[in-house]
Amino acid sequence: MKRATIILICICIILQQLLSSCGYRPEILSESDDISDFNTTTVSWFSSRRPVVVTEDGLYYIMEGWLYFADLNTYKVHPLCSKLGCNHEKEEFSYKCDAFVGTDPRSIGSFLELRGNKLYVSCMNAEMNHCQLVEMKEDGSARKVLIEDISNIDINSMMFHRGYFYYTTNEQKENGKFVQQIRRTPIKKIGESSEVLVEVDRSEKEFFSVLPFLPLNDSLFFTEQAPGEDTGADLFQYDFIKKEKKVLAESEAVNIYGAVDGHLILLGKEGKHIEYSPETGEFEEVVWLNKLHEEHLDWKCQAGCINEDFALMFIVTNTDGKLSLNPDLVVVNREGNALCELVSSAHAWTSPQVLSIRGEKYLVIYGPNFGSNNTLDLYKVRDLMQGKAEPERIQSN
Amino acid sequence: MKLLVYEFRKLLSKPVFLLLVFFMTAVLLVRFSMSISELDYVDRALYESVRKEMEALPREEALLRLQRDRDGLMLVSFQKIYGDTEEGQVLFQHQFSEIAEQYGMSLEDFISEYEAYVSDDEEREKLQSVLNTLLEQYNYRENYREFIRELPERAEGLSAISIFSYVSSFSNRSIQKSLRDYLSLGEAEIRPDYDQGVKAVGSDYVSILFVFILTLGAAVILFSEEEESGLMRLLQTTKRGRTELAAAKWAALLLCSISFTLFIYGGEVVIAGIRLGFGDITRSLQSVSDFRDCCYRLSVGGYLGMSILLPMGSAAVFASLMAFLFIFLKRPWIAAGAVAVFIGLNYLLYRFLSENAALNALKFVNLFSLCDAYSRYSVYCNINFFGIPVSVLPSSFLSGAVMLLAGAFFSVFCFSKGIGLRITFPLSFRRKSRIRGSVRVFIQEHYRMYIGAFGILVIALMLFLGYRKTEQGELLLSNADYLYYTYGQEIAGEITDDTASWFLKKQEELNLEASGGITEDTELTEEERTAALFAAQMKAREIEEKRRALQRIQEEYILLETARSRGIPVHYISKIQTDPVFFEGNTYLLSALLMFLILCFSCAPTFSQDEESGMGRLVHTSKYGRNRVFFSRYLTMLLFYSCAFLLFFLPYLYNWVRFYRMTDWGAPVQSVLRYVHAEGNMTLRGFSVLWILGSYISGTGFVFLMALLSRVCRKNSTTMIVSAVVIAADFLVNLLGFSVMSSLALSSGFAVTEILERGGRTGIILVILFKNAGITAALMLLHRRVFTK
Repeated sequence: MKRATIILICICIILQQLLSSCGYRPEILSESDDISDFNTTTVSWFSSRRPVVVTEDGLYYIMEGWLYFADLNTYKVHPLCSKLGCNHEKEEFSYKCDAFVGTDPRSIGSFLELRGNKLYVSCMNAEMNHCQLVEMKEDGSARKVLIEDISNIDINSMMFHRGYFYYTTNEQKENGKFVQQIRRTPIKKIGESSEVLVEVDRSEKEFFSVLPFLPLNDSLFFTEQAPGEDTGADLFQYDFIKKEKKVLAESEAVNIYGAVDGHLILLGKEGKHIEYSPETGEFEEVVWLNKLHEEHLDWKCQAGCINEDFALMFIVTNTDGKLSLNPDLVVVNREGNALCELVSSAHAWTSPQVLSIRGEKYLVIYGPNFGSNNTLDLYKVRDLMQGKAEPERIQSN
Repeated sequence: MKLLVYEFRKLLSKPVFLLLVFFMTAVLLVRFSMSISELDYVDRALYESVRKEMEALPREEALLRLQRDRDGLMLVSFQKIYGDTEEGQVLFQHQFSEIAEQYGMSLEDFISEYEAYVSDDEEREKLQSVLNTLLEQYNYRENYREFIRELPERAEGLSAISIFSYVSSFSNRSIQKSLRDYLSLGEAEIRPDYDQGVKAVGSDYVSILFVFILTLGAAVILFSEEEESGLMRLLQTTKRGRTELAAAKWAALLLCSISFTLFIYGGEVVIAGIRLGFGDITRSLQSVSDFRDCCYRLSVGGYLGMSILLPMGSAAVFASLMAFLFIFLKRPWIAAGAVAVFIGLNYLLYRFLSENAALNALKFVNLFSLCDAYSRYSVYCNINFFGIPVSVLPSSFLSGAVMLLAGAFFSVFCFSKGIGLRITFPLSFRRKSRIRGSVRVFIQEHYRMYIGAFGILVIALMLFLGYRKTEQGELLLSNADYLYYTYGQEIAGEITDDTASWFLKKQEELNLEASGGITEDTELTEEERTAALFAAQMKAREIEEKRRALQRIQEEYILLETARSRGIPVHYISKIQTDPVFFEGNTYLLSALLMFLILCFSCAPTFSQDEESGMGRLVHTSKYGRNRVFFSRYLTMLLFYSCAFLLFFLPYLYNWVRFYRMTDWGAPVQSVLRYVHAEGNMTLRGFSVLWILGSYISGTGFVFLMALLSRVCRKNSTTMIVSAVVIAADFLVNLLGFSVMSSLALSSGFAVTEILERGGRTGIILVILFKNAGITAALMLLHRRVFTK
């Protein structure tokens, strides 16, 4: 009798499992599935995006490893930590502060994304030895680790695209070889399973071989540098449908800046900017951009942003070509005419970004004295185009 | 009560178990004592005298005095670093005159007040650490007041932020609750006092794992023995054999686990008190800066008590649940498995779940969290109970009490009513996997080794010790070591006639580097000149460090040349690479000795158990009672030892592979500077293989010796003690370095590096290896002869 009962229960469980899988439909992934797809209207210098996201109430951003909230109602910046006793101290016991997400002062490897009413953030674990992908509510509570170990080598090493989450991992194989993998996992199944798209060898000494990757349409674009070599990296395309990897250019590209209007913007050899069209498969020089560089040789480009609608460019001016402690930030148009000078921080790590805030296009950039003073400057793009540079400043308490 | 006493007698009649408890407690306490040694950097007597002196002064004056003295001593230290040269003095004046001006004095006058400390570096450093500690405590006292007074304003500010302003959100509720909690405490009186000991206790959640393991051992003795021998049914037919017996067993297990916790955690508090000190234990816990966020009215003494009571509570809950599992699941293997899964889950949730996770209740209502008194009192946190913030400690107490009582109730209920789940595997599987009660000698011997002689606990302990030996994190080199290593990499490989010219080339490079700098003719402003002088001084220091690194390599090269002159094609390998692989000193020998002392618990009783119970002769009369029993026991011991040896050696291998990759394994053994005087030809690869093999054979000899002694001593406890003494004596010969005796001792297999270090011939290693193999074989043959005849 007992045995019969157990067998019956087992049959029920198996049947339930079978029936539930019958009802499962494979996910149909389309552009519209991904509400926070890669921003293809702006390319920022140095890396494609800053970890900044906008909500109705304000902006979330990561600076120097801390997650902040800039309140648009009060115009105050506050770390995303609701602990009353917390001093949000940077020196000691940082792990006690909920706003502390990592140590990278440049926030290069920081990932921040908002999907629905959940924030997705890359956080260092308590031992500070690896990076995790964490989901949390907008007030920073109810945290959940989705992926335990991800590599946060670059801002573009994590991305949501067409219903998938793309990320890189560093691994050591049984044979002692170090490899770097680009993986993807359906957004609805993050943390459950992932698919390895690309695997490249990496030298033991080097931190990474795969430079920023960029998913665009049905392909994934990335650059790969042979371990130990200083020459330019190769540009690769991985086709999601054919599941093939092919070389687009050898030793040509140094960095993928981003995509504008479906075209890749790359930094090529000798500082030349190249545009790649996935449709025609052709490389073209970005003439106006390169011309700007040639005409203004004394301008060292450290922070920049190209926007397809507004054609803005921000250049750190420098007389001796070296990075200055207090460089200037200038807005120029595609013809190379300076429109206005900004008073915000012009540090290389503060790549500006154009964001739509409450229906208005704003240029978002860190305030003056980056690092010592936590402020966020918001410039209306309309005003900038007219030569006005009056920021709306959100600053800490 | 009588039943309880009988249950305790059952435990006390197991000397192996008692020795294991004693040994584990000792290991954990020694580990704790070593781990807190780094906190012992402040001179307590000096601290006390300065503190009393400061207490006599008004608060502001004391703070000012501490700052002034700290600055004065700091300037004295810097003055020494900048040196007596004119340039150094100019720089010193430029950099630090502002500090003296703060006190309305010139730099010279200010420093002259601290002249007494110029020559005595040790005394100055002692006083500096005392002043820094006191200053930190005084500043903390001021900041604490401010912190409490600012709280309402802070709460208001936080609640005004959009994302925290929703009244029904967890964040908003948590902010309001925090404010209520802190305000209900009021402003605690902060009294600076010596607090290193307070900071050291209460955070050891590793020891509780061992309390759990020991409790598991006690549960096996209390619950399984009667069940296995079939006496349980008989006992249950007696007048007090149901509820009272169950209650007695439950209480015995509970008291056992509480006692283990008291020994370990109580011991830790005593050690911290003696080595570091707690200061005045009547002062508020908030007086210790780590506990600023504690919102309970508690004294330091109270906290020390809680740091013992909380683990005791955790152990009691565990014991209660375990008693239930052993009664309900009947089979000890299955119950132990369930307990292991339970502990594992608890640990994973405690360790890896974030404090502000949606299910953070699982992190806090947890056995490991409950015993972590330090975190519970130093970090303010609330459990997110469906969006409502709930205090951690009361919830932990409540859930702990519920689990304790539920465990007690269900244990007694199930035992008295005979309710249980007897999990049975399919017959075919049972035939294959049947261990207990098997008539196969080999399987039975394994059961005896791992369960009867607590071999499984020994393996767990070895695993723990092995994990502690592995080097976590990154390999950090000092600047001097880094320079030495980088230079060394340039000449790594076989030493040739050209190597000498490399040194000349490097010297020239350094001379060239040093020749740059500013001259009198260079036109510079005063500020530029000061900056240039500073840069020049830094550069000079850097070049000096490089010279020292180069000199270090040159000295090593000269030593290696002596081997080369003997016709040995030595290679240059940096000491950074060889030192961790070919150990210096006695660390390897001591680790090996510790391993054998641990192995004594399980290996020593292999033969004596039968003799002690009087079953030896009966076993002899059976069909396979002689040769098969003998070889099965030896094979069991050998497998057990191999497993332990692997756990002993794996951490070393892990560290080598991870940090000290050596590619030059084909180099002669003399390439390791320590063995430069050794005679004969042998590669490092060959030497390493022989060394590991030698260690393994020596160890096998010790295990066989234990077996022989167990036959001679005939009693478990006597065998263990005698084996431990004999093995320790053998190791002592090598540890003390008696040159003639050491190669005769069995432990010489572990100490072959010492032989090469003394300039011995490489061939001796082979001789030792064969000698040890011979002794090992002789021990076994002798034992076999005694056993089978």
